[in-house]
Amino acid sequence: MTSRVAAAALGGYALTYACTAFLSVVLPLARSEAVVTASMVSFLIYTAAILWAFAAATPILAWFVLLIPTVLFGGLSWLMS
Amino acid sequence: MKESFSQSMDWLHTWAGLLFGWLLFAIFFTGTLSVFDQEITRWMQPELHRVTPAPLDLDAASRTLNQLAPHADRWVITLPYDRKPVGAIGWQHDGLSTLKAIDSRTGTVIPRRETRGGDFFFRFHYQLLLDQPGIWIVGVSAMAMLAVLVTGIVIHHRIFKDFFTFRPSASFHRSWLDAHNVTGVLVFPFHVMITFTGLVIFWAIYMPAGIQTRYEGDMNAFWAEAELFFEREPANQPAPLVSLADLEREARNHWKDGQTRSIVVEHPGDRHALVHMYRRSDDRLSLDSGRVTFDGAGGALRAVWLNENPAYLTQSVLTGLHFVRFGGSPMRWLYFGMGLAASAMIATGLVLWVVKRQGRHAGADAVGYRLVEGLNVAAVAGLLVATATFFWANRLLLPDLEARDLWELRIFFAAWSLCLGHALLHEFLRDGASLKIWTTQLVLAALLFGLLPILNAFTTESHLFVTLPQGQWHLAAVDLTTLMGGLVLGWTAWRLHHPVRTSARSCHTQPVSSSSGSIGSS
Amino acid sequence: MSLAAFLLSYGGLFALCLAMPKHYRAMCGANALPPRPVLLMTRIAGWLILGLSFVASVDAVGWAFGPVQWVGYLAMSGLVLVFGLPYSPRLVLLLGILAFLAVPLTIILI
Repeated sequence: MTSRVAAAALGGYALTYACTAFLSVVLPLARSEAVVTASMVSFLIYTAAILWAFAAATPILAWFVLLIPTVLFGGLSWLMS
Repeated sequence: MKESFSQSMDWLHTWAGLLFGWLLFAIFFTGTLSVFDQEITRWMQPELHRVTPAPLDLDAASRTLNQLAPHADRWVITLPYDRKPVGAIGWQHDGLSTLKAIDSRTGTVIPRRETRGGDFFFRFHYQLLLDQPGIWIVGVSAMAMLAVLVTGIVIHHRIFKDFFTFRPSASFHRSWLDAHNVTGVLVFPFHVMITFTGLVIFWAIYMPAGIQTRYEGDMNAFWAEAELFFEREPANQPAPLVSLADLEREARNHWKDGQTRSIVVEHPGDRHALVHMYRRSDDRLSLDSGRVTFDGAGGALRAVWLNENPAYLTQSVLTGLHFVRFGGSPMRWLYFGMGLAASAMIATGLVLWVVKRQGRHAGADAVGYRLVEGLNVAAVAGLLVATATFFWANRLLLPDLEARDLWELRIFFAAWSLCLGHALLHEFLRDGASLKIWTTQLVLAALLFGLLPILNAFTTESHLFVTLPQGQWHLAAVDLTTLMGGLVLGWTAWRLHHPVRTSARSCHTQPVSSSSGSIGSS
Repeated sequence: MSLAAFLLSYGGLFALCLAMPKHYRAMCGANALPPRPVLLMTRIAGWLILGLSFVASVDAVGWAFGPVQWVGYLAMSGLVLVFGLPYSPRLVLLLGILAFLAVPLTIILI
């Protein structure tokens, strides 16, 4: 359970951060509008991530599914900005 | 597989609910009070109750500010309106803020007792009086709340079959669970809305990813773009401020049918002075409905921002949904009711944790159990006692006491700490007499709230016998609400002490053997 | 119209509640239970009345505030209903009937 809690809190936040950064970059809106939109959506992503961390069959799977998109979106937004 | 999924959801609901429940109860309860922050502040400043409302003479206000704080970094003028009939001036100098009530016609300061009033509950609600760290703690709690809400729907799957069901005469566990489910489900849209919008208010603090990637972390660059926010350093050359009344008249042309809420003057008396006029937004959902910026010296129009970008407006609407400045008193009462229901849901959830584990603990295990029991009482009943004490302190402390507003806070926290001490002492020394602690603190809160109108009658000229005949509902409502609160708390304490046994009359109740004999004995 | 919206929200929830056998028995006596189609009709009527209450709320205060007000009304009347039911089911029944009777009055008078 400790691993799931960590996955939810830290992994979830990392994923949310990466997704928000990615959306802020790719949304076809004015800069400030894209940032606000991405940031509002971020709390929904975080909620979903927390639930996933506890819903996944095993903690390992929970971590994997959280970390892969984190690296992917984090990398993409870093390259594009 | 399915079993482990629901176990996992149950675990998250139980433990996140318990660990954050104590804090969440305080956040929700003080938030509920903040719905009426202006009314509470007004009630807590009896010196202003006799002032006849009038439109504020801005030039008179500006003259007073010029006398009292000519070198301040910033002036703030709040215009009076129905919820706040006395205008206010404030200024900031070297990081210190001062706030004074003024006579609308002459601009002279009206002496009044120093109090945080409803603003105390408001600040506690979103930052626990801890500034930035507090905002983070509240944010983490809010995220936990969202997770607990969703898992709640997953694990209490019987809620739809048992819709509309509350069985006060069933077993202790059953009736608490019913109350928890009912307040959870019926008010569910509100719970989710208020928690989500609460997070959205501080998106820039909680989720700075967008600002980092698109603005290199420069918050001010973002505000400049999103709100056309305009600021500049002082020129350090004196220049007289133009008439604020003239600027306000010009600003009003920009908000259709709107009123000005407040005026902020940056670097007053400097050649680079800026005057920001803010539109009041109680006629719409959106919290920020417009700002007009002028040059303080000369009065040239600098910026007009009417919040028309869709995404930013959406954020502002979500924020507005949280603040409920719209819809007048009826809407605020609805929010107040739903906020109380949310607080009740959290409180019953905390109680359920204990009730479920009743009688299961012995020896070392019992320490954690007792600790939870004690913290539950202090977090719920203790906060109620402390809140009532805050109202009493406002009436009993001498009006001209030095640092009076701080003393009100100290008394609030002292009362809360005493309740915690009382609860824990009883738990560990008296071998877990939890029912007794609950009733003791609830009775105390009931008395403090219920007797508040009487204390008010002895200490002010604006008690119920005056406010009711004169139809001063904004003031009377505070007394009447605390009176009602006292009655409800008293009734709750009485019911805890004399639980009902299964009655044959309520035939929708499942025949459950009454466990009322064992309540509280752990 | 805001009052009508509130009364309808209570009326709608009341109808949904009436359509559930155990609550029906609590309000109308232990043995009486109408046939299933009647209960089903009551349930459908309940949802329709809730829809009407939404329309009334939006009509009263506009699209911006209407939905928020409606959610508030639902919550408040639901709490009245649920916490009234175990203590005085007859009163809940009476309030339900009164709510329906009062709706036309509020529309005519206000």
